[in-house]
Amino acid sequence: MLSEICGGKILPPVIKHITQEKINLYAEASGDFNPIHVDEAFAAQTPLGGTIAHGMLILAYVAEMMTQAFGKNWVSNGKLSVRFKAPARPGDTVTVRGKIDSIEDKEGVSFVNCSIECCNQKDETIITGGATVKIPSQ
Amino acid sequence: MPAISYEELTPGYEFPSASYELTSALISKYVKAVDSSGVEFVPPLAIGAYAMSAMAGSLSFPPGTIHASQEFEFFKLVPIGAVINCKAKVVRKLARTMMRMLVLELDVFDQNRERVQAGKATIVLPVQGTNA
Repeated sequence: MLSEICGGKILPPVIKHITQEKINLYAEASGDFNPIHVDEAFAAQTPLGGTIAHGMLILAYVAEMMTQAFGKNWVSNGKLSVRFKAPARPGDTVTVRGKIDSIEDKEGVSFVNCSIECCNQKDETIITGGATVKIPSQ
Repeated sequence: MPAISYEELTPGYEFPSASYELTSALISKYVKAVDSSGVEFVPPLAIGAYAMSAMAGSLSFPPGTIHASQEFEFFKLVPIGAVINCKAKVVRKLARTMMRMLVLELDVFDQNRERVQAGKATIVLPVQGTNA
């Protein structure tokens, strides 16, 4: 959990290496066996040129960062809105970054607004978006 | 019930609701797959992932369908062992020469009929005759 919640605060990043094994494991866990994720021969024939990680797998890393920063407040009062800008591929290292942009206090509740970005090892943006966490004011 | 195709879907279409139990084994499998550590409560994206998977069971989408955007809102902690009911509907459908798109809304309730999560997914389907 963050020791201090204030505007401008950088959230501790989450860094994950993507492998085909992890993608396959996610397919098994989620039941999403879309061949763009798990069938290398099929994916090679598409404009994407190869398999890509499930968007929901990368979002799980975003959720991990938010859970580490805000704990149960995120899990029970979080809101997330993202766009998938580019795929994450096997061999990529994904870094999830977040920053508290603003805090609004309304009727005893703090709305903590964060910007979210996931980049690969070339610093290309994979996911961009925002999250809000409702926290009861102290 | 046979799976429904993109062509058959219309805005307002409601998918058959689906229920599942968030068993300890299911959540352990998810937590391992997302490379995370032990949890005291169900990760909200696990609920979202299983809700989407349950919905996908009634859809017949072409290979190469991809996710373009996603929204989630979480309303309460969900304990392991909870039974979840998912409802989903089509809110927008768009077809262009090179692209087909669907916007789906998702609502998830627990066994007490309390809303635990809502979501909106935009997915892009390959145009027939291409692979993605």
